[in-house]
Amino acid sequence: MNDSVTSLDKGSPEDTGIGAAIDDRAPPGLVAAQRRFAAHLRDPRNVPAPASIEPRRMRVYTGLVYANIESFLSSGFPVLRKLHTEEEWVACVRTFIAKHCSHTPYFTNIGAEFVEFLGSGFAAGGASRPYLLELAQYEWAELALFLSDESLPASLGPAPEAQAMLAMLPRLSPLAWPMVFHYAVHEIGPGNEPCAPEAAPVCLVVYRDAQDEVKFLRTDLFSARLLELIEGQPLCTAQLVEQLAGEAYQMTKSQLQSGVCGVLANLYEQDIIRFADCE
Amino acid sequence: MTEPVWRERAALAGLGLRREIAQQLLAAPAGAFDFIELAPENWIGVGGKFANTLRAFSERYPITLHGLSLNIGGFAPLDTELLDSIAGFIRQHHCKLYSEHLSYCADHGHLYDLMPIPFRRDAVGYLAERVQRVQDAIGQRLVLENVSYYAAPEPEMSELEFICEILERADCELLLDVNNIYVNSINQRYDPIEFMQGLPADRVRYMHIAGHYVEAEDLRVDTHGAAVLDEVWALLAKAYALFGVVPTLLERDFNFPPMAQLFAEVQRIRDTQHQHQTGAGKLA
Ligand SMILES: [Fe+2]
Repeated sequence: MNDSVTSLDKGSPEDTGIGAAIDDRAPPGLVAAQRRFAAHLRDPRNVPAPASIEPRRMRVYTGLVYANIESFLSSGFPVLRKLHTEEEWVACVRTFIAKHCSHTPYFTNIGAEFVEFLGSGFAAGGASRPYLLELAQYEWAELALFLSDESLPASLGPAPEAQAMLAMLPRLSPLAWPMVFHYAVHEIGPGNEPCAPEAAPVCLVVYRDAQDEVKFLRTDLFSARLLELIEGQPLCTAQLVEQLAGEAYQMTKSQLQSGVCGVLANLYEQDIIRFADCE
Repeated sequence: MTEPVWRERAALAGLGLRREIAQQLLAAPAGAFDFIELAPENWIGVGGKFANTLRAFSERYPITLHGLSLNIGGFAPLDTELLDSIAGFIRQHHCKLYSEHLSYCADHGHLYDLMPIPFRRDAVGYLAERVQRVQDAIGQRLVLENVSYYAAPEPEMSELEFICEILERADCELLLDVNNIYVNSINQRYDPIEFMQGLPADRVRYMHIAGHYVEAEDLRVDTHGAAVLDEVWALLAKAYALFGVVPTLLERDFNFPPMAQLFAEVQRIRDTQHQHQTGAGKLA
């Protein structure tokens, strides 16, 4: 919808919902009155309330807006919440309400709006604690996968034997998100805040299994590269081995082949990938 | 006990589907409530465990929709993609009606709360036309709810005139929220019964009743977090006397009591309905 909408924010989580455009039939006086009212609700400390309204009544609205959005954020990002003092958290939520233009009409997607906001530079603390953004991305991945309406193709029993697997096409589950972080976000919590990025990239797959449980798997760089290839254009397992052989792994072809098949069997058993027949 | 069925203008009492109490509601004794209401913006596009929960309800109970993000009174263009999704959801779950708030919830972005539309003359035609576009998009009448409000920015007409004109010009239906009328009658200092008498009876399709929070004697906040007050029960009885019995929902969004207490409130809705069905006003 709204192809004509010029988004206020770049890279909205979903290209849907409302934005900066105005219904061309909206009476200008109504638009102005609503803008004044909403501007105060967004930023009651800096934008004066419409003069005609009793402050006590206006505070009902500012209180309701804050409490509602705060409850979505603190329940969607429980670890992130705990890493903020009360004062920091209040400031963060207030800035989100004041500065961020949320496009999504879905309450289940407010988390994506918040992650976008945290990455936008409006959020305080982003510079001194860069891992907070990564933590938020990780917590959102867990929630988004829990809520996702994608489905995992049914398992066809035990993982195929290596010879059969070579001729098959591994496909990433739509319920698996390979992610790479600078910090071990899955271990961060109160009392365990990192001082510096990890020496090597932290490769995680956040996924939902066939029992609809959301889990994560930490992988090595080799598996992460394999997942990256699988996410790209369709290649059967033998082609994946070929592709990796051209990259700088210190392995013979047969070591590489059994390495790939071993990783894929493991990913398959955890419901991160499925196999299809090659065309 | 027969399967719950939906009937218009009938003595039916429902409960809102909140994730916090979903499992308890599924375990409820047969006949504890007749239908379930949910906010489509909480359930559209949701899979996994919550989709299983939703399916369990939709197999067992009629579903009504009470939307939150349509922003019918706002100035942003109508979200036609949201409307398409809602229309799809209605088809998928055979939803019995789609209601929304006579309110706006966004400026250039969503605020996820209900703001009071200024009661301006120029807003009436604009809103009525938007309601008509919504009705065209979903292929059914929209049911608009009178909202509770704490401020009326620069009004040019009364709330009652505003509501009546929009209902008439949009040719839509009314979700009469009895608690909202009570809360508004205190906050805005008017007589709730006189207010109800001014509403078009033939447009009342559905009702809400709820508890609220007493911020001050002259300032009540519509939180849906407490038991229904006796004064509000009395107003519900008055509403049935004026408009006849229609399916009615108990709104409870947080601070949940033991389920037995919620079901007792649902039963009290039915008792009130039956008093008015067996009375002189009983419809054939
Ligand atoms: Fe209501």
